[in-house]
Amino acid sequence: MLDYIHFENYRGFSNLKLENLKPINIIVGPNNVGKTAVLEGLAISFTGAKNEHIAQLFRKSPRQEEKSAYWDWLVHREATESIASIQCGGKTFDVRSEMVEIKSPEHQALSKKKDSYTGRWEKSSGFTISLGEGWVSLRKLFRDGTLPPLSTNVVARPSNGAEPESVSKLYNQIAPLNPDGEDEIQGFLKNSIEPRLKRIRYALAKDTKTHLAYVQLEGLQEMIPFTQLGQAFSSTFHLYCLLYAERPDILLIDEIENGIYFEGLDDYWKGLHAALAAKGTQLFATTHSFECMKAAHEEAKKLDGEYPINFIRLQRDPDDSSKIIATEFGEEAMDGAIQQGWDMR
Amino acid sequence: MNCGYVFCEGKQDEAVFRAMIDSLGLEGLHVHNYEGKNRLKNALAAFASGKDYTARKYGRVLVTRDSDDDATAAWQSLQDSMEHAFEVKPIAQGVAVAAENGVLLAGLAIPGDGSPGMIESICMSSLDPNSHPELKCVNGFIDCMETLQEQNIHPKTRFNVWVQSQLKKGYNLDKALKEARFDFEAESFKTLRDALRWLAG
Repeated sequence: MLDYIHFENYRGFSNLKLENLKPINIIVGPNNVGKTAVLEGLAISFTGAKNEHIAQLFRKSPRQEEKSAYWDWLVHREATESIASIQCGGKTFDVRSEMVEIKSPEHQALSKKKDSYTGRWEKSSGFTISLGEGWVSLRKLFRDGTLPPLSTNVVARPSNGAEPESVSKLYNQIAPLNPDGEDEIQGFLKNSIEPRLKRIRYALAKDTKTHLAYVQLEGLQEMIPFTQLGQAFSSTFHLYCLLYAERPDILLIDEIENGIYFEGLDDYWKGLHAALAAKGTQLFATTHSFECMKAAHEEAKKLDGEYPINFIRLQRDPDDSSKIIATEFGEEAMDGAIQQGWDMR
Repeated sequence: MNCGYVFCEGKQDEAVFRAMIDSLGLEGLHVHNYEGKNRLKNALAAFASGKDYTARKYGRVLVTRDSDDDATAAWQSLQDSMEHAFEVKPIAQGVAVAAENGVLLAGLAIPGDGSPGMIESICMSSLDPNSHPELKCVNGFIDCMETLQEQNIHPKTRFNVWVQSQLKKGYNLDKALKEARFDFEAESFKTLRDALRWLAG
Protein backbone atom coordinates (compact mmCIF):
# COMPACT_ATOMS: atom_id res chain seq x y z
CA MET A 1 0.00 0.00 0.00
CA LEU A 2 1.28 3.45 -0.86
CA ASP A 3 1.63 5.63 2.20
CA TYR A 4 2.82 8.79 0.50
CA ILE A 5 3.15 10.50 -2.89
CA HIS A 6 5.29 13.49 -3.63
CA PHE A 7 4.84 15.42 -6.86
CA GLU A 8 7.42 17.96 -7.95
CA ASN A 9 6.90 20.10 -11.04
CA TYR A 10 4.21 17.73 -12.22
CA ARG A 11 1.34 19.40 -14.07
CA GLY A 12 -0.15 22.06 -11.73
CA PHE A 13 1.83 20.90 -8.70
CA SER A 14 5.08 22.69 -8.04
CA ASN A 15 5.51 20.72 -4.82
CA LEU A 16 2.67 18.63 -3.42
CA LYS A 17 3.02 15.97 -0.73
CA LEU A 18 0.27 13.56 0.24
CA GLU A 19 1.56 11.88 3.35
CA ASN A 20 -1.21 10.09 5.22
CA LEU A 21 -2.46 7.74 2.54
CA LYS A 22 -4.87 5.03 3.65
CA PRO A 23 -6.53 2.06 1.94
CA ILE A 24 -9.14 4.50 0.61
CA ASN A 25 -8.13 7.98 -0.51
CA ILE A 26 -10.85 10.38 -1.60
CA ILE A 27 -9.70 13.51 -3.38
CA VAL A 28 -11.95 16.56 -3.37
CA GLY A 29 -11.69 20.24 -4.22
CA PRO A 30 -12.94 22.84 -6.67
CA ASN A 31 -12.51 22.56 -10.43
CA ASN A 32 -9.09 22.76 -12.01
CA VAL A 33 -6.94 22.07 -8.96
CA GLY A 34 -5.50 18.76 -10.16
CA LYS A 35 -7.72 16.07 -8.64
CA THR A 36 -7.61 13.99 -11.81
CA ALA A 37 -3.92 14.78 -12.25
CA VAL A 38 -3.20 12.89 -9.00
CA LEU A 39 -4.82 9.79 -10.50
CA GLU A 40 -2.94 10.27 -13.76
CA GLY A 41 0.32 10.70 -11.87
CA LEU A 42 -0.20 7.31 -10.26
CA ALA A 43 -1.09 5.82 -13.63
CA ILE A 44 2.07 7.27 -15.18
CA SER A 45 4.10 5.92 -12.28
CA PHE A 46 2.91 2.36 -12.40
CA THR A 47 1.23 1.44 -15.63
CA GLY A 48 4.14 1.12 -18.02
CA ALA A 49 2.97 0.31 -21.53
CA LYS A 50 -0.54 1.55 -20.80
CA ASN A 51 0.86 5.05 -20.43
CA GLU A 52 0.02 5.84 -24.02
CA HIS A 53 -3.67 5.94 -23.10
CA ILE A 54 -3.34 8.15 -20.06
CA ALA A 55 -4.36 11.33 -21.88
CA GLN A 56 -7.80 9.88 -22.50
CA LEU A 57 -8.04 7.68 -19.42
CA PHE A 58 -10.15 10.16 -17.49
CA ARG A 59 -10.68 12.85 -20.11
CA LYS A 60 -13.36 12.35 -22.69
CA SER A 61 -12.22 11.85 -26.29
CA PRO A 62 -9.54 14.51 -26.43
CA ARG A 63 -8.97 16.04 -29.83
CA GLN A 64 -5.56 15.80 -31.40
CA GLU A 65 -4.41 19.23 -30.24
CA GLU A 66 -5.71 18.54 -26.72
CA LYS A 67 -3.68 15.38 -26.57
CA SER A 68 -0.66 17.34 -27.60
CA ALA A 69 -1.39 19.96 -24.93
CA TYR A 70 -1.86 17.25 -22.33
CA TRP A 71 1.68 16.02 -22.79
CA ASP A 72 3.00 19.52 -23.25
CA TRP A 73 1.65 20.43 -19.80
CA LEU A 74 3.01 17.36 -18.07
CA VAL A 75 5.75 19.43 -16.50
CA HIS A 76 4.86 22.39 -14.27
CA ARG A 77 5.07 25.68 -16.13
CA GLU A 78 7.49 27.24 -13.65
CA ALA A 79 9.90 24.33 -13.49
CA THR A 80 13.45 25.35 -14.24
CA GLU A 81 14.14 22.02 -15.90
CA SER A 82 11.54 20.40 -18.12
CA ILE A 83 11.29 17.39 -15.82
CA ALA A 84 8.48 16.32 -13.51
CA SER A 85 9.29 14.16 -10.53
CA ILE A 86 6.99 11.71 -8.81
CA GLN A 87 8.00 9.93 -5.64
CA CYS A 88 5.90 7.03 -4.42
CA GLY A 89 6.10 3.36 -3.61
CA GLY A 90 9.71 3.73 -2.52
CA LYS A 91 10.78 5.03 -5.93
CA THR A 92 11.68 8.46 -7.19
CA PHE A 93 11.60 8.98 -10.88
CA ASP A 94 11.61 11.80 -13.33
CA VAL A 95 9.26 12.12 -16.24
CA ARG A 96 9.78 14.26 -19.26
CA SER A 97 7.64 14.75 -22.30
CA GLU A 98 8.95 16.36 -25.42
CA MET A 99 7.53 17.15 -28.82
CA VAL A 100 9.50 15.65 -31.66
CA GLU A 101 8.84 16.86 -35.19
CA ILE A 102 8.23 14.31 -37.90
CA LYS A 103 11.13 14.64 -40.24
CA SER A 104 12.33 11.25 -41.27
CA PRO A 105 10.47 9.10 -43.79
CA GLU A 106 10.54 6.35 -41.20
CA HIS A 107 8.50 8.43 -38.79
CA GLN A 108 6.13 9.49 -41.53
CA ALA A 109 5.61 5.90 -42.58
CA LEU A 110 5.00 4.91 -39.01
CA SER A 111 2.58 7.77 -38.66
CA LYS A 112 0.58 6.48 -41.59
CA LYS A 113 0.65 2.93 -40.36
CA LYS A 114 -0.37 3.82 -36.88
CA ASP A 115 -3.36 5.98 -36.30
CA SER A 116 -3.43 8.74 -33.73
CA TYR A 117 -2.35 7.93 -30.20
CA THR A 118 -1.24 4.39 -30.92
CA GLY A 119 2.11 4.10 -29.25
CA ARG A 120 5.31 2.23 -29.55
CA TRP A 121 7.92 1.54 -26.99
CA GLU A 122 11.18 3.37 -27.23
CA LYS A 123 13.74 1.49 -25.22
CA SER A 124 12.57 0.34 -21.84
CA SER A 125 12.42 3.67 -20.10
CA GLY A 126 9.80 5.47 -22.11
CA PHE A 127 7.63 5.46 -25.17
CA THR A 128 6.62 7.63 -28.03
CA ILE A 129 3.10 8.58 -28.95
CA SER A 130 2.09 9.66 -32.42
CA LEU A 131 -0.08 12.73 -32.46
CA GLY A 132 -0.46 12.83 -36.23
CA GLU A 133 1.42 16.04 -36.72
CA GLY A 134 4.16 15.27 -34.24
CA TRP A 135 5.31 12.97 -31.53
CA VAL A 136 5.36 13.08 -27.84
CA SER A 137 8.19 11.22 -26.29
CA LEU A 138 7.51 10.40 -22.67
CA ARG A 139 10.52 9.19 -20.80
CA LYS A 140 10.56 7.83 -17.34
CA LEU A 141 14.00 8.13 -15.89
CA PHE A 142 14.53 6.45 -12.58
CA ARG A 143 17.00 8.20 -10.39
CA ASP A 144 18.41 4.95 -9.14
CA GLY A 145 18.52 3.50 -12.63
CA THR A 146 16.05 0.71 -11.92
CA LEU A 147 13.12 -0.25 -14.07
CA PRO A 148 9.58 0.94 -13.38
CA PRO A 149 7.89 -0.88 -10.47
CA LEU A 150 5.51 -2.73 -12.75
CA SER A 151 4.84 -5.31 -10.09
CA THR A 152 2.28 -2.85 -8.76
CA ASN A 153 -0.87 -3.43 -10.75
CA VAL A 154 -2.77 -0.20 -11.20
CA VAL A 155 -6.18 -0.26 -12.82
CA ALA A 156 -8.35 2.72 -13.70
CA ARG A 157 -12.06 2.79 -14.27
CA PRO A 158 -12.52 5.13 -17.26
CA SER A 159 -14.75 8.11 -16.50
CA ASN A 160 -16.95 7.56 -19.49
CA GLY A 161 -17.65 3.99 -18.41
CA ALA A 162 -17.01 0.84 -20.36
CA GLU A 163 -18.90 -0.94 -23.11
CA PRO A 164 -21.33 -3.54 -21.74
CA GLU A 165 -19.52 -6.20 -23.78
CA SER A 166 -16.20 -5.36 -22.10
CA VAL A 167 -17.73 -5.48 -18.64
CA SER A 168 -19.36 -8.80 -19.49
CA LYS A 169 -16.06 -10.21 -20.75
CA LEU A 170 -14.41 -9.17 -17.50
CA TYR A 171 -17.11 -11.00 -15.60
CA ASN A 172 -16.53 -14.06 -17.73
CA GLN A 173 -12.87 -14.01 -16.72
CA ILE A 174 -13.99 -14.51 -13.14
CA ALA A 175 -17.10 -16.61 -13.14
CA PRO A 176 -16.21 -19.97 -14.73
CA LEU A 177 -12.87 -20.53 -13.02
CA ASN A 178 -13.44 -18.67 -9.79
CA PRO A 179 -16.88 -19.59 -8.49
CA ASP A 180 -16.05 -18.13 -5.07
CA GLY A 181 -15.31 -14.79 -6.72
CA GLU A 182 -18.54 -15.07 -8.68
CA ASP A 183 -20.45 -15.71 -5.46
CA GLU A 184 -18.78 -12.80 -3.73
CA ILE A 185 -19.59 -10.37 -6.56
CA GLN A 186 -23.19 -11.50 -6.61
CA GLY A 187 -23.33 -11.22 -2.83
CA PHE A 188 -21.91 -7.68 -2.83
CA LEU A 189 -24.35 -6.60 -5.53
CA LYS A 190 -27.30 -8.23 -3.77
CA ASN A 191 -26.41 -6.66 -0.42
CA SER A 192 -25.59 -3.22 -1.73
CA ILE A 193 -27.47 -2.42 -4.93
CA GLU A 194 -30.07 -5.00 -5.97
CA PRO A 195 -31.66 -7.12 -3.22
CA ARG A 196 -33.71 -9.10 -5.80
CA LEU A 197 -30.56 -10.44 -7.49
CA LYS A 198 -30.48 -14.23 -7.81
CA ARG A 199 -27.67 -14.90 -10.28
CA ILE A 200 -25.58 -13.49 -13.13
CA ARG A 201 -24.67 -15.47 -16.28
CA TYR A 202 -22.45 -14.69 -19.25
CA ALA A 203 -24.33 -15.79 -22.34
CA LEU A 204 -25.08 -15.30 -25.98
CA ALA A 205 -28.82 -14.86 -26.12
CA LYS A 206 -30.86 -16.03 -29.07
CA ASP A 207 -30.96 -13.55 -31.95
CA THR A 208 -28.09 -11.49 -30.50
CA LYS A 209 -24.58 -11.13 -31.84
CA THR A 210 -22.54 -10.53 -28.71
CA HIS A 211 -22.13 -12.17 -25.37
CA LEU A 212 -23.41 -10.23 -22.40
CA ALA A 213 -23.83 -10.69 -18.66
CA TYR A 214 -27.46 -11.47 -17.89
CA VAL A 215 -29.12 -11.08 -14.53
CA GLN A 216 -31.86 -13.11 -12.90
CA LEU A 217 -34.04 -11.30 -10.40
CA GLU A 218 -36.52 -12.74 -7.94
CA GLY A 219 -39.98 -12.63 -9.47
CA LEU A 220 -38.71 -12.58 -13.04
CA GLN A 221 -38.59 -15.77 -15.08
CA GLU A 222 -36.30 -14.57 -17.84
CA MET A 223 -32.81 -13.22 -17.33
CA ILE A 224 -32.27 -9.67 -18.51
CA PRO A 225 -29.11 -7.87 -19.70
CA PHE A 226 -27.37 -6.27 -16.71
CA THR A 227 -27.56 -2.89 -18.45
CA GLN A 228 -31.32 -2.90 -17.87
CA LEU A 229 -30.80 -2.48 -14.13
CA GLY A 230 -29.61 1.09 -14.42
CA GLN A 231 -26.40 3.00 -14.11
CA ALA A 232 -25.78 2.33 -10.42
CA PHE A 233 -25.88 -1.42 -10.98
CA SER A 234 -23.79 -1.24 -14.17
CA SER A 235 -21.22 1.03 -12.60
CA THR A 236 -20.91 -1.09 -9.46
CA PHE A 237 -20.87 -4.34 -11.42
CA HIS A 238 -18.03 -2.97 -13.56
CA LEU A 239 -16.15 -1.98 -10.44
CA TYR A 240 -16.43 -5.43 -8.87
CA CYS A 241 -15.45 -7.08 -12.15
CA LEU A 242 -12.34 -4.89 -12.31
CA LEU A 243 -11.46 -5.79 -8.73
CA TYR A 244 -11.89 -9.52 -9.23
CA ALA A 245 -10.62 -9.92 -12.80
CA GLU A 246 -7.69 -7.50 -12.71
CA ARG A 247 -6.86 -7.95 -9.00
CA PRO A 248 -5.33 -4.47 -8.83
CA ASP A 249 -3.07 -3.29 -6.05
CA ILE A 250 -4.32 0.21 -6.77
CA LEU A 251 -7.66 1.22 -8.28
CA LEU A 252 -8.16 4.69 -9.74
CA ILE A 253 -11.64 6.14 -10.17
CA ASP A 254 -12.43 9.66 -11.31
CA GLU A 255 -15.74 11.13 -10.11
CA ILE A 256 -16.71 8.01 -8.22
CA GLU A 257 -20.23 9.25 -7.49
CA ASN A 258 -21.16 9.32 -11.19
CA GLY A 259 -24.39 7.50 -11.89
CA ILE A 260 -25.20 6.77 -8.26
CA TYR A 261 -28.37 8.36 -6.90
CA PHE A 262 -27.59 10.02 -3.56
CA GLU A 263 -29.91 7.70 -1.64
CA GLY A 264 -28.00 4.72 -3.00
CA LEU A 265 -24.58 6.02 -1.94
CA ASP A 266 -24.63 4.32 1.47
CA ASP A 267 -25.27 0.93 -0.11
CA TYR A 268 -22.73 1.63 -2.83
CA TRP A 269 -20.02 2.32 -0.27
CA LYS A 270 -21.07 -0.57 1.92
CA GLY A 271 -20.37 -2.92 -0.99
CA LEU A 272 -17.23 -1.13 -2.10
CA HIS A 273 -15.66 -1.15 1.37
CA ALA A 274 -16.25 -4.89 1.56
CA ALA A 275 -14.92 -5.60 -1.94
CA LEU A 276 -11.80 -3.44 -1.54
CA ALA A 277 -11.01 -5.07 1.80
CA ALA A 278 -11.58 -8.54 0.36
CA LYS A 279 -9.14 -7.92 -2.50
CA GLY A 280 -6.63 -5.81 -0.53
CA THR A 281 -6.90 -3.05 -3.12
CA GLN A 282 -5.99 0.56 -2.38
CA LEU A 283 -8.43 3.07 -3.85
CA PHE A 284 -7.75 6.57 -5.12
CA ALA A 285 -10.95 8.32 -6.16
CA THR A 286 -12.09 11.85 -6.84
CA THR A 287 -15.52 13.23 -6.10
CA HIS A 288 -17.46 16.49 -6.30
CA SER A 289 -20.13 15.22 -3.94
CA PHE A 290 -20.21 15.80 -0.19
CA GLU A 291 -23.01 13.24 0.00
CA CYS A 292 -20.55 10.73 -1.44
CA MET A 293 -17.88 11.67 1.13
CA LYS A 294 -20.45 11.38 3.88
CA ALA A 295 -21.66 7.96 2.72
CA ALA A 296 -18.08 6.65 2.46
CA HIS A 297 -17.40 7.95 5.97
CA GLU A 298 -20.60 6.64 7.58
CA GLU A 299 -20.12 3.18 6.08
CA ALA A 300 -16.44 3.13 7.07
CA LYS A 301 -17.39 3.81 10.69
CA LYS A 302 -19.41 0.62 10.74
CA LEU A 303 -16.36 -1.49 9.85
CA ASP A 304 -14.17 -3.29 12.34
CA GLY A 305 -10.58 -2.12 12.64
CA GLU A 306 -8.82 1.09 11.77
CA TYR A 307 -10.74 3.82 9.96
CA PRO A 308 -9.69 3.29 6.32
CA ILE A 309 -10.24 6.67 4.66
CA ASN A 310 -7.97 9.63 4.06
CA PHE A 311 -9.79 12.62 2.59
CA ILE A 312 -7.60 14.98 0.57
CA ARG A 313 -8.81 18.42 -0.42
CA LEU A 314 -6.81 20.25 -3.06
CA GLN A 315 -7.16 24.00 -3.38
CA ARG A 316 -5.23 27.02 -4.54
CA ASP A 317 -2.84 28.65 -2.11
CA PRO A 318 -4.45 31.92 -0.94
CA ASP A 319 -1.05 33.65 -1.24
CA ASP A 320 -0.12 32.26 -4.64
CA SER A 321 -2.95 31.07 -6.86
CA SER A 322 -0.54 29.21 -9.12
CA LYS A 323 0.31 26.87 -6.25
CA ILE A 324 -1.88 23.95 -5.19
CA ILE A 325 -2.01 22.94 -1.53
CA ALA A 326 -3.42 19.77 0.00
CA THR A 327 -5.29 19.36 3.28
CA GLU A 328 -5.70 15.81 4.53
CA PHE A 329 -8.30 14.84 7.09
CA GLY A 330 -10.04 11.80 8.49
CA GLU A 331 -12.70 10.43 10.80
CA GLU A 332 -12.69 13.12 13.47
CA ALA A 333 -12.94 16.05 11.05
CA MET A 334 -15.69 14.32 9.06
CA ASP A 335 -17.63 13.61 12.26
CA GLY A 336 -17.24 17.26 13.21
CA ALA A 337 -18.26 18.51 9.77
CA ILE A 338 -21.39 16.37 9.72
CA GLN A 339 -22.34 17.45 13.26
CA GLN A 340 -21.79 21.11 12.41
CA GLY A 341 -23.39 20.96 8.95
CA TRP A 342 -20.21 21.98 7.14
CA ASP A 343 -19.34 20.99 3.60
CA MET A 344 -15.78 19.69 3.40
CA ARG A 345 -15.39 19.61 -0.39
CA MET B 1 -16.04 40.43 4.41
CA ASN B 2 -15.81 38.44 7.66
CA CYS B 3 -12.53 38.79 9.47
CA GLY B 4 -13.14 36.98 12.73
CA TYR B 5 -14.74 33.67 13.65
CA VAL B 6 -15.94 32.91 17.16
CA PHE B 7 -16.92 29.49 18.45
CA CYS B 8 -19.48 29.42 21.25
CA GLU B 9 -20.93 26.55 23.19
CA GLY B 10 -24.70 26.87 22.99
CA LYS B 11 -27.81 28.78 22.16
CA GLN B 12 -27.53 31.17 25.12
CA ASP B 13 -23.91 31.97 24.31
CA GLU B 14 -24.78 32.59 20.68
CA ALA B 15 -27.61 34.98 21.56
CA VAL B 16 -25.45 36.88 24.06
CA PHE B 17 -22.46 37.03 21.68
CA ARG B 18 -24.61 38.37 18.86
CA ALA B 19 -26.20 40.97 21.11
CA MET B 20 -22.81 41.98 22.45
CA ILE B 21 -21.25 42.26 18.99
CA ASP B 22 -24.19 44.39 17.94
CA SER B 23 -24.01 46.53 21.05
CA LEU B 24 -20.27 47.12 20.66
CA GLY B 25 -20.70 47.98 16.97
CA LEU B 26 -18.28 45.28 15.85
CA GLU B 27 -18.39 44.19 12.22
CA GLY B 28 -17.20 41.25 10.17
CA LEU B 29 -17.58 38.63 12.91
CA HIS B 30 -19.09 35.21 12.36
CA VAL B 31 -20.59 33.47 15.41
CA HIS B 32 -20.80 29.69 15.33
CA ASN B 33 -22.63 27.64 17.95
CA TYR B 34 -21.03 24.18 18.14
CA GLU B 35 -23.87 22.87 20.30
CA GLY B 36 -22.23 21.49 23.38
CA LYS B 37 -18.71 21.07 24.69
CA ASN B 38 -18.60 17.38 23.82
CA ARG B 39 -18.69 18.43 20.16
CA LEU B 40 -15.91 20.99 20.41
CA LYS B 41 -12.93 18.76 19.61
CA ASN B 42 -14.44 17.39 16.39
CA ALA B 43 -15.81 20.78 15.40
CA LEU B 44 -12.33 22.31 15.65
CA ALA B 45 -10.79 19.40 13.75
CA ALA B 46 -13.33 19.92 10.96
CA PHE B 47 -12.85 23.69 10.96
CA ALA B 48 -9.06 23.36 10.79
CA SER B 49 -9.41 21.05 7.77
CA GLY B 50 -12.14 23.11 6.15
CA LYS B 51 -11.69 25.38 3.19
CA ASP B 52 -12.53 28.60 5.08
CA TYR B 53 -9.60 28.04 7.41
CA THR B 54 -7.13 26.70 4.88
CA ALA B 55 -8.01 29.52 2.48
CA ARG B 56 -7.62 31.96 5.38
CA LYS B 57 -11.06 33.46 4.94
CA TYR B 58 -10.88 34.47 8.59
CA GLY B 59 -7.73 36.08 9.94
CA ARG B 60 -8.65 35.62 13.60
CA VAL B 61 -10.40 32.81 15.42
CA LEU B 62 -11.68 32.86 19.01
CA VAL B 63 -12.70 29.60 20.65
CA THR B 64 -14.82 29.77 23.80
CA ARG B 65 -16.41 27.35 26.19
CA ASP B 66 -17.85 27.65 29.67
CA SER B 67 -15.56 27.02 32.65
CA ASP B 68 -18.44 25.47 34.60
CA ASP B 69 -17.37 24.20 38.02
CA ASP B 70 -13.71 23.54 37.21
CA ALA B 71 -12.02 26.43 35.44
CA THR B 72 -8.61 24.74 35.32
CA ALA B 73 -9.93 21.57 33.70
CA ALA B 74 -12.04 23.59 31.26
CA TRP B 75 -9.10 25.70 30.12
CA GLN B 76 -6.85 22.67 29.79
CA SER B 77 -9.48 20.88 27.72
CA LEU B 78 -9.85 23.93 25.49
CA GLN B 79 -6.07 24.19 25.05
CA ASP B 80 -5.85 20.50 24.14
CA SER B 81 -8.68 20.71 21.60
CA MET B 82 -7.10 23.76 19.96
CA GLU B 83 -3.65 22.19 19.87
CA HIS B 84 -5.08 19.00 18.41
CA ALA B 85 -6.84 20.89 15.61
CA PHE B 86 -4.48 23.77 14.85
CA GLU B 87 -1.15 22.32 16.01
CA VAL B 88 -0.48 25.32 18.24
CA LYS B 89 -1.35 25.63 21.91
CA PRO B 90 -2.68 28.89 23.34
CA ILE B 91 -0.60 29.70 26.39
CA ALA B 92 -3.00 32.04 28.20
CA GLN B 93 -6.66 32.95 28.01
CA GLY B 94 -7.40 35.63 25.44
CA VAL B 95 -3.80 35.74 24.25
CA ALA B 96 -3.41 35.09 20.53
CA VAL B 97 -1.02 32.60 18.99
CA ALA B 98 -0.30 32.32 15.28
CA ALA B 99 -1.03 29.08 13.46
CA GLU B 100 1.36 27.90 10.77
CA ASN B 101 -0.81 29.46 8.06
CA GLY B 102 -0.74 32.83 9.84
CA VAL B 103 -4.27 32.76 11.25
CA LEU B 104 -4.35 34.18 14.79
CA LEU B 105 -6.01 31.95 17.38
CA ALA B 106 -7.20 32.67 20.91
CA GLY B 107 -9.13 30.69 23.51
CA LEU B 108 -11.34 31.72 26.38
CA ALA B 109 -12.88 29.56 29.10
CA ILE B 110 -15.70 31.87 30.17
CA PRO B 111 -15.67 33.92 32.34
CA GLY B 112 -12.03 33.99 31.22
CA ASP B 113 -10.35 35.02 34.46
CA GLY B 114 -9.60 31.52 35.72
CA SER B 115 -12.68 31.33 37.91
CA PRO B 116 -15.61 28.94 37.51
CA GLY B 117 -18.66 30.15 35.64
CA MET B 118 -20.38 30.42 32.32
CA ILE B 119 -21.92 32.95 30.01
CA GLU B 120 -25.11 32.93 32.06
CA SER B 121 -23.26 33.78 35.27
CA ILE B 122 -21.47 36.78 33.80
CA CYS B 123 -24.73 37.98 32.30
CA MET B 124 -26.41 37.82 35.69
CA SER B 125 -23.43 39.52 37.36
CA SER B 126 -23.74 42.39 34.92
CA LEU B 127 -27.26 43.27 36.07
CA ASP B 128 -27.63 46.21 38.44
CA PRO B 129 -30.39 45.44 41.02
CA ASN B 130 -31.32 49.14 41.04
CA SER B 131 -32.10 49.05 37.34
CA HIS B 132 -33.61 45.57 37.49
CA PRO B 133 -36.06 45.32 40.40
CA GLU B 134 -37.31 42.01 39.00
CA LEU B 135 -33.99 40.46 40.11
CA LYS B 136 -35.27 40.45 43.66
CA CYS B 137 -38.25 38.31 42.60
CA VAL B 138 -36.11 35.95 40.52
CA ASN B 139 -33.49 35.51 43.24
CA GLY B 140 -36.21 35.02 45.86
CA PHE B 141 -37.78 32.32 43.73
CA ILE B 142 -34.48 30.51 43.13
CA ASP B 143 -33.52 30.77 46.82
CA CYS B 144 -36.87 29.32 47.78
CA MET B 145 -36.44 26.43 45.33
CA GLU B 146 -32.94 25.70 46.63
CA THR B 147 -34.28 25.53 50.17
CA LEU B 148 -37.14 23.33 49.11
CA GLN B 149 -34.96 20.96 47.10
CA GLU B 150 -32.04 21.15 49.54
CA GLN B 151 -29.58 21.60 46.69
CA ASN B 152 -28.13 24.37 44.54
CA ILE B 153 -30.10 25.26 41.44
CA HIS B 154 -27.98 25.44 38.29
CA PRO B 155 -27.00 29.03 37.36
CA LYS B 156 -28.53 28.49 33.91
CA THR B 157 -31.93 28.12 35.58
CA ARG B 158 -31.61 31.49 37.33
CA PHE B 159 -30.55 33.00 34.00
CA ASN B 160 -33.46 31.46 32.11
CA VAL B 161 -35.98 32.57 34.72
CA TRP B 162 -34.68 36.12 34.52
CA VAL B 163 -34.60 36.09 30.71
CA GLN B 164 -38.17 34.85 30.68
CA SER B 165 -39.14 37.69 33.00
CA GLN B 166 -38.05 40.17 30.34
CA LEU B 167 -40.85 39.15 27.98
CA LYS B 168 -43.89 41.33 28.34
CA LYS B 169 -46.05 38.54 27.01
CA GLY B 170 -45.64 34.96 25.89
CA TYR B 171 -43.13 32.41 27.11
CA ASN B 172 -40.80 31.71 24.19
CA LEU B 173 -37.27 31.40 25.56
CA ASP B 174 -35.59 32.01 22.19
CA LYS B 175 -37.60 35.20 21.75
CA ALA B 176 -36.89 36.24 25.31
CA LEU B 177 -33.16 35.66 24.76
CA LYS B 178 -33.23 37.99 21.77
CA GLU B 179 -35.09 40.67 23.71
CA ALA B 180 -33.05 40.45 26.91
CA ARG B 181 -30.84 43.50 27.48
CA PHE B 182 -27.55 43.23 29.33
CA ASP B 183 -25.08 45.90 30.25
CA PHE B 184 -22.18 44.84 28.05
CA GLU B 185 -20.02 47.61 29.48
CA ALA B 186 -20.24 45.99 32.93
CA GLU B 187 -17.02 44.71 34.55
CA SER B 188 -18.15 41.07 34.37
CA PHE B 189 -18.10 41.25 30.56
CA LYS B 190 -14.64 42.84 30.33
CA THR B 191 -12.65 39.74 29.30
CA LEU B 192 -15.19 38.68 26.71
CA ARG B 193 -15.58 42.25 25.48
CA ASP B 194 -11.81 42.61 25.00
CA ALA B 195 -11.67 39.26 23.21
CA LEU B 196 -14.44 40.18 20.77
CA ARG B 197 -12.86 43.57 20.11
CA TRP B 198 -9.57 41.80 19.36
CA LEU B 199 -11.42 39.41 17.07
CA ALA B 200 -12.86 42.30 15.08
CA GLY B 201 -9.36 43.66 14.59
